[in-house]
Amino acid sequence: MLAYTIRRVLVSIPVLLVASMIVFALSLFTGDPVQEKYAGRNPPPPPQTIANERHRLHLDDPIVVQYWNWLKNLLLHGDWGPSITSETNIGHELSHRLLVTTRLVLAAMIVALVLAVISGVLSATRQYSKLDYAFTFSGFVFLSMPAFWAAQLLKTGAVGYNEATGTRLFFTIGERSTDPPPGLWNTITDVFGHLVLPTISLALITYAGWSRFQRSSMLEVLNSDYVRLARAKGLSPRKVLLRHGLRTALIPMTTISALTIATIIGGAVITETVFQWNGMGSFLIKSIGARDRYAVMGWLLVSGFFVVVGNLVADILYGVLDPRIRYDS
Amino acid sequence: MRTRSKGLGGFVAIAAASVLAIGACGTSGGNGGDKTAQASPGFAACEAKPNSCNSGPTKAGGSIVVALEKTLPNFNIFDGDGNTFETAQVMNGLVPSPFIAQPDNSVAWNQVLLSEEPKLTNKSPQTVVYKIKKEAVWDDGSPIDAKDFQLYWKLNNGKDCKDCSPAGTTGYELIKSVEGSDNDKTVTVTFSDTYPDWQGLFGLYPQHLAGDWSTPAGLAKAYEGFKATPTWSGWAYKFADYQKDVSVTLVPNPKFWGPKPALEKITFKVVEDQAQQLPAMKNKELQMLISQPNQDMVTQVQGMAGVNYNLSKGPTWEHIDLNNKNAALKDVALRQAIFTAVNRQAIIDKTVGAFFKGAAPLNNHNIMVGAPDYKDVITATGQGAGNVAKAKEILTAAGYKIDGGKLMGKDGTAVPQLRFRYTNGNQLRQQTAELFQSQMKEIGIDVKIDPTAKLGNTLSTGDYDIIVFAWVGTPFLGGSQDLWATDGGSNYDKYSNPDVDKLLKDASKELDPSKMRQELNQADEIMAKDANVLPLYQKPVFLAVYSDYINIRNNPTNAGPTYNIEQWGLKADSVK
Repeated sequence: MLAYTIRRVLVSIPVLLVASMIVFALSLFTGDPVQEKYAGRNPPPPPQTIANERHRLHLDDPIVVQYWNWLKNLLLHGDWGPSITSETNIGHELSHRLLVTTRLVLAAMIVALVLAVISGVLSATRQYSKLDYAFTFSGFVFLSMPAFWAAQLLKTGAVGYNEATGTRLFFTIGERSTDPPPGLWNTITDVFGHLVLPTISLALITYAGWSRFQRSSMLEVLNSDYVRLARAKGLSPRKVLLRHGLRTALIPMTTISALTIATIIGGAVITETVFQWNGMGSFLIKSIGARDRYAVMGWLLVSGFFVVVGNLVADILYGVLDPRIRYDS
Repeated sequence: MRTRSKGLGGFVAIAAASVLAIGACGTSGGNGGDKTAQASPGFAACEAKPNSCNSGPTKAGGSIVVALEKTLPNFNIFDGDGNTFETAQVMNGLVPSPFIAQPDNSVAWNQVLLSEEPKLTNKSPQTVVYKIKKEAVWDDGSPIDAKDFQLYWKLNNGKDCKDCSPAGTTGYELIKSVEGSDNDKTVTVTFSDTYPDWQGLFGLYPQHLAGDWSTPAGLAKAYEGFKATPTWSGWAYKFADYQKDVSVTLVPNPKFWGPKPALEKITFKVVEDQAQQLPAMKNKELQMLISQPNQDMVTQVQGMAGVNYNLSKGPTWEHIDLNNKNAALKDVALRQAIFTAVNRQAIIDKTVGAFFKGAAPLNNHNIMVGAPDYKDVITATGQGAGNVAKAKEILTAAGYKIDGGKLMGKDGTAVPQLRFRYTNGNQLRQQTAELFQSQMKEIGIDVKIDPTAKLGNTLSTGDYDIIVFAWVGTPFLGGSQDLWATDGGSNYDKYSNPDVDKLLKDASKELDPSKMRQELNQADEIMAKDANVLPLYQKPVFLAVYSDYINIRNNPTNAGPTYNIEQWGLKADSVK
């Protein structure tokens, strides 16, 4: 397993390198960032300002030199390169935003996972019952609902609740209040009030897909020979369901969760935008808009890293959970 | 394109006001009735008295949260990056400036900072004297004096600090000397050449915190230092908290020598997605919005109980340009016919007119509607009226023919297809492009709409036949040369007329404001006949604020509503 893990990590390095080269080369086609930054200013910025800015962003070097310097400085000095906004430190920005997104994603994923497993199991064990139809219906509703619309509906409902009760339990923008009221309890309610809507919004959409997955996985297991054997041996239905059925049916769920979380850490773009969280997704969107080449490169490496790690974790978990799979044999 | 983020060189003062706030005042909401209702308890008087509406006594204390639509790049307002509308809104609370742009587009001298109105004491060489009040100090007690003026000049003149990247050097590069006297409380600024827009210069940063700025390296260090989160203040408020990309919180500066500000906390919160400001406003997470609005925003605010709003014509004006690089468009008759067939009112009705009753065609290239000496130079030319018959007459007289719905040139060949560019994703401009395309069909011109994602590149390389974009008007008109003169840095259309060049040059050296504007109008009349740029309309600016607050009013110049931040407050109980 260790050799397999090391091999996978080593293979991922050239993958990330090639991806970074491609993105760097593609950024050439997005236009001159300095020219676009000062587009249409009147009077136009002095030539000195434009020259200084081009120099700061290394735009006066050939593209290959630019890439090489970026890579060298990143590997040797941990320097992620200059941002189009001179005061932005890309490294700090990425680490901060990664935390913000992780907080959002993990909370949402836990909620989604719990809901998906419960509804998937109930649907499978009571296939074609009213409950199954209800879960199926709600799953498809959330699947087909555009994420931004679901988020706006939640906001409207929350604002309505606040108005009706004369309180402000729910907040619609940001991760926390700029100036929360003092006290531990107030801090907790403030964080909760900001977290609850984006969490539900992201969780509902993820839950919808996962619940369908869990249902079919569970159905497959429940109809398998060894479950039939377990029943025939006289094991209690509860034991059959939980120990023999669910345990096996969770294997594919585990893998898909690891993959999804890794991907979403790259940015829950819509949720972050609607709730104005400064996470990875909004960082990417903003960086692309500003033609902030090194910021996009930074995002690519971080999110690429998580996708690689997510894939690896999924594969390893698969090996751990499923005794039939042994990578080193 | 350029929105309200540019041209803030001299900060509050330069923040411009070529536009008179003739705007329609809004209604406080909750009725959801007449969507163009104009009366409101707070802003009803703004149309007649833009500088003094919604004013009255305040009570001590209280706080407000104001939405900003963009993050703050840094806090150096004269830096190429930091020179944004949003940064100005925050820094208005900290930076003392000799002149302040008012809501009615006038420029007022700062009576809290200066002991008397700055005087133009000599015309040749141009000399200006500022007298700073003795009690004017930075928040650490150091005096605000001539040395602050000197540092600002050196950082912005493009000569003393080559490593500095200022947003503009205009004006500062013409200053020969900045000298202090009377214990440095009197500042004498002498110019090497005439600069009529001198009132737009200077917004002070503390030189005593800038280290040794006697060398170019020291100046560059000072310049960089001013980008950092301010630990200083020379005005009514100072920083209490800054969370990057999230918020800035200001609290009163105890050393402010002017009238004590009422609000004990002002928070600027970054909400970049305009649509998200509305539920946050309704939820009272925000108490005030400053925005370039759309129909949805105006309608929703109208429905919010207890919120006053105001729409005014802003400094950003949209226009359609024809590129002289295109051989066909070099013919003035064709250009005149195109602009004559354009129906500006139809464009307005489909765009900003849908939510801004005060929207109207703009008929001058330099001076905005309502500003002194605004002159309509367009209507008499018949341009912008959508007069297809007259356009056809112009074409026929010039030897063109419309054959089978296609416009044929003087040589009998079809006028080539023209490419119309607009900023990708800008809905107002897309609608403008589509209407223009259909209006041109009437005179047989085939227009291909081709959005651009790289507007800067499109403009600088002249990669268009026709384009719609915007300029931001200011009360300081010397910059007109850059826009329209033959060698103007922003004359992307390569328009050239020696008579216009001469008039613009004369205007840029004219210290008498009235005479200057008359010269500009003369140039403008020629430009209108040449039919190179057709002004469309001024975009509205929008202010919405809960009615508990007083002394807050829309300022459609680049100074923005925080131009009088020190006067903001909660209404005194006596006026409720």
